[in-house]
Amino acid sequence: MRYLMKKVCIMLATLFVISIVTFWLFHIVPGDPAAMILGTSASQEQLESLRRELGTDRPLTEQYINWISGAVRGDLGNSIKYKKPVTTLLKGKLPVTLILGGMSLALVILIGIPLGVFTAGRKHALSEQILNLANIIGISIPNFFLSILLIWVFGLILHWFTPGRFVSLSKNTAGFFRFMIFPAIAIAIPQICVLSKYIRTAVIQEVRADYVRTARSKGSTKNRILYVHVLKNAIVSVVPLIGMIVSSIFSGSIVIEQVFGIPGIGRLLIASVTSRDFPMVQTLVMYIAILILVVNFIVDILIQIMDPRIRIAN
Amino acid sequence: MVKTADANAPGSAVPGKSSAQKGGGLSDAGAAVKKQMSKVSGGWATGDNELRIGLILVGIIVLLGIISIFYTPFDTLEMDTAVRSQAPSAVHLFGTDNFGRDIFSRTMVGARFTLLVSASTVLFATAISIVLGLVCGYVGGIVDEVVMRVMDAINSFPSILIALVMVSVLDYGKLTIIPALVIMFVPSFTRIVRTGTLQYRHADFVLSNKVYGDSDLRILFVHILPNIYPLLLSSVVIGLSNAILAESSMSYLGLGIQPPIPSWGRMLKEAQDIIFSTPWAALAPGLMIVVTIVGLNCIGEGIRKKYLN
Amino acid sequence: MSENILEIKHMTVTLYENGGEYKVVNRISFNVGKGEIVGIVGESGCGKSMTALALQDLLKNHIKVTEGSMMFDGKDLRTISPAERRQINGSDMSMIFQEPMTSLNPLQRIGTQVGEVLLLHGKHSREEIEARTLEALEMAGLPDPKRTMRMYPHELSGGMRQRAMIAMGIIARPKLLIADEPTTALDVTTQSHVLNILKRINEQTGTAILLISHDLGVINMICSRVLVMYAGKIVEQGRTEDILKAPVHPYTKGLIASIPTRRMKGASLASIQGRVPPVTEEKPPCPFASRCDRADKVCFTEYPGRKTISEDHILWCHHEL
Repeated sequence: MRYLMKKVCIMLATLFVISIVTFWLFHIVPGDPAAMILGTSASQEQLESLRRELGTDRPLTEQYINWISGAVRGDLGNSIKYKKPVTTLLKGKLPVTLILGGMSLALVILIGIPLGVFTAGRKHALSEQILNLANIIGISIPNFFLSILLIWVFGLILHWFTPGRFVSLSKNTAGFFRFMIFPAIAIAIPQICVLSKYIRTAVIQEVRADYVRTARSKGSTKNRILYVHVLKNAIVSVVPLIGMIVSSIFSGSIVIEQVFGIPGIGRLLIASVTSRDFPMVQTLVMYIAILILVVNFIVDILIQIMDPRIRIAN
Repeated sequence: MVKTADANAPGSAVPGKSSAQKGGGLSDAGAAVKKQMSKVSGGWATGDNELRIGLILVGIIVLLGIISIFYTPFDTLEMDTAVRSQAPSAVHLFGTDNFGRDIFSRTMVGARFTLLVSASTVLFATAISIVLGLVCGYVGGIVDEVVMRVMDAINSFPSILIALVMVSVLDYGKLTIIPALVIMFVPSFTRIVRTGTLQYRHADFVLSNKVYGDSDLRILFVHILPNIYPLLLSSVVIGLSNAILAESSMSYLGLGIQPPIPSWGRMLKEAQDIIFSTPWAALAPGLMIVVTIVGLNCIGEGIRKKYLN
Repeated sequence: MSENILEIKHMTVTLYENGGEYKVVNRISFNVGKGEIVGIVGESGCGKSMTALALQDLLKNHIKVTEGSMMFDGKDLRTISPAERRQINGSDMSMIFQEPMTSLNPLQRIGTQVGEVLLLHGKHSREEIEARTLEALEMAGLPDPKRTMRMYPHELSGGMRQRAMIAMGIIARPKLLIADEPTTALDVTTQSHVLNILKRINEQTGTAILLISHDLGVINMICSRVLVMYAGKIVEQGRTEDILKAPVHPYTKGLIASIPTRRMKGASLASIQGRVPPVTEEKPPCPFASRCDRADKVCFTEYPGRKTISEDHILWCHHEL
């Protein structure tokens, strides 16, 4: 329990530091937002009135406190570009991104782990080389290039989905998932390669362990040894990697949403960055930061649950 | 007590060497065991092999980039609507885009800039990291604590997010991408340098040099650094491949190198825009990226395997 | 009906490495009687561990039994099917290992691991498994078995882990328990505790024990008979007190002489000249010949035959003293 509380405190402290850094970055470095919006030809009064409207004429600390207290209340300011409250713009988009991320994660785990176990068992030179090569290419290929290839093959040639035409979940559930599976695959493939390689190494290592010898000495069957002993230990050693994989899935989705035209947080972020819509970017960055911290926290808890050696040390 | 046999020839059933034992050839069981063992070990992926393959792959790309300074098969800016959107052929190796420009030539020029930008990014990052890492490892104390915490914080974020933040804050000018990317790499390089420095800080030869009056600066650069560089080199090479990936991503999003300077990422975006009419436009830049990254990873892994075991 | 639970005849274990074949165990023969405690003693590399692993088919892929017969309880261990092998391992014949920390699954509770043996052999209800697990843990000398059951391996001390391994080895009431250097990783006081536990188990249940160790002192504590191995061969075997009091083979003599005792205080430690030859080295027919001060030409050309000194005392040497 105490350990949990400590972790939560650290998380909140980190969040605090991030908010300050983000705020500082977006308010101090770029310069006067009013000038950027109105351009160089604007008059003093115009600049002043816009500053009052935006609230940038107040001292920085006050601005910061306003931002934070607003955020807690649910008011995240207005987007400069869209002239609407940030929260409104986020409403439909967060679920889409989360579903995309969830689908990718599911693919990574459901394919990556069995693939890793499978390749650990294969000792034939030829198939091992081929899989090795596929693995290397999978890790090296930029996911947007992979997406273009997927769009080309499955969209243009095979017509399994229509590229560029996003299907909304509320309108057509089947169509939605049929569309979304392709970006999910594009995000998942590099991560599948990474995960399966790790699992393979972990399994090969565990199989050599002494306790596997003990299990054989007890008369255990090969399958039982694999699932009860080896796999459990291999997965436990790989759980910390899951945090990294989730982080990669996030960054992957930012670009992939752009490629497939998915109206999610990633695409919104890119649009905001391109148009220098600071309130938007600021909020999105905080959002993503929070998501990542939460995920790391969950991974930490998972490790505690799964590995008694670490659990008891705390 | 027993070492595993190492078969260097891929897929060999029985190594050429016959039994060294007095008494003739191998028994049946022996040959069977042999066969099984040769399938277990790595095959082609030895340190030397990887290095060779990597150097060849990267060498080709670099060569293309260098050649592009003097010569490209077609003028990259020449727009010839007569040969618009042509599929790959003997004349146009990778086809033409919707403006009639030869894709292969553009890719060659793109190689030049992509490599330059990525290389300079990694160079800056390495320089900064060496200084930071040496200082942290050597001095330790509160400086070390603070700097490493900041590094860890940066490291825990998706790199693309950091790049996006930097670019939005600094405006995406021509070369804004470089500082954005540099920040991405400094944490991991610094950690490597620091770890190496910690290892050697208390080494005997360092201490004896101190006794002889060598200044700290001299010790750091003349004695410690040369011992650290193999691991650093491997990571720098792999960092280079990540830099190319990151730069391409940013250019793809329109936030990296700005036109008219061609870059692979940008070309992929343009290719995607014309995918209905010219689907092959993405092949050249995409393949180039993959080949470069695979090559760099091979080099990095090869260095690691050779010098660190 | 034989009164031996284990009969080994001319067993050879061959190692395949780097294109060559090397005999790590070279045509050894010995028996273990029902309910007997037999020890195998020798320095590292003499093949004693390989012998033990061979009995349970735990040898690594490039090491195989290439000759001889291993008869366990009337069954030929070399020709049984994999299913039969899985049936024997853990129930009729079990083994405990040198390193209890790595030999136990770090993610499973002790009770689960010990009870797993019963899951694998025969049909038992959960209550029965739990009851017998507690019984085994208690027999193995673990205080507070109920609590220990729920603990993980890293929560126990080295001695307790070894006792947990013993519990795992005896829960299925085996006919033969093989103990491969069970005390080597433990401190001296714990060593004698563990050995006494083994002895008690043997007395109470009639389980035969094959104890492997490089330490004659350990062997002496509980073994009634001992085999002395050198470079893959048995050089001498007999009753423990006979061997210790009146060793005949030069190697055995050297082993015993090099044990430091109070009487030798101040004198230089005796040691056997030379060193144990590595497995890959060519050895003369009597492998000890190059280190032996009694060796002469015949030792380098002919394999020493079996010589019976007394009823149980057997020697393999060209010379007698």
